Amino acid sequence: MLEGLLIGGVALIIINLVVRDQTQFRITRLRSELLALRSEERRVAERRDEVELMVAQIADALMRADRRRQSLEKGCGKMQALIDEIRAMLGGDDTTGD
Amino acid sequence: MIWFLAVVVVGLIAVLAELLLSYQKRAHELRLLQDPLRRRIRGHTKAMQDAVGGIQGIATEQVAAFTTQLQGLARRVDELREALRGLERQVLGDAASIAAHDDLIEEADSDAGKIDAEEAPEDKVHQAQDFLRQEVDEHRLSMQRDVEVVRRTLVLLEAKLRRAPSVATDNT
Repeated sequence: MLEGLLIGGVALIIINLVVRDQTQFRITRLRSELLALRSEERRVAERRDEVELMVAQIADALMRADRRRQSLEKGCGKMQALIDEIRAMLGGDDTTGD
Repeated sequence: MIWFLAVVVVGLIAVLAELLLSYQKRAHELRLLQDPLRRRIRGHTKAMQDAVGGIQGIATEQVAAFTTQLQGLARRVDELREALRGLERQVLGDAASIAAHDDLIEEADSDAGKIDAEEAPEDKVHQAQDFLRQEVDEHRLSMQRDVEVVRRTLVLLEAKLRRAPSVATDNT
């Protein structure tokens, strides 16, 4: 009985040590997974900011280009009018334009 | 002695149970902390996919349309420039004889000369040249720059997405 208890006690000590080691290992692994997830989340959030900034830049540039296209069309119209005016001043009848 | 060993064995069993329970509890807590992070990562990824998917199609179409329009407008500007050059040659070719005539007028009546000079075709030609340079050419260059900015930013965006496969495919 005494021997059985002694052997059981030693075995339990060994089992406890093994379980503690495994527990620590698994918890450490879970903790590092959590840290990796945190840094991944930060990285993805930064990338999202960059992507959103780029998208905003593209939208701005598209709007600017559209405004400039309109101004350019108006400018061409005004330019044509000026040319027609000069032709009229010169007394020519050639007022062909686009 | 037997009692002492029995108590020790029972204590060891209790420690073992406590270890297993504490592991379960801690592991559960850590997994619970991971869930919101995974949700946030999925949210960021989805937001990026939505933003990029929306702008990429529009921007590609718009860049193609702007390029075509820009080519058409550039042709029109070139035609107008040519027409202005023709008028310039015509006006400035006549300018020598007109200048001599103007000198005579200015000597006779300086006020009348001023009015004539204001309405002279040369002034209109200069005005048209300035307008062409400042308004038309400036807008054309700015539009070219803007289209180029869109094109380059799109390339950068695609490169960024290629470097981040997790953005292109939701693998979280």
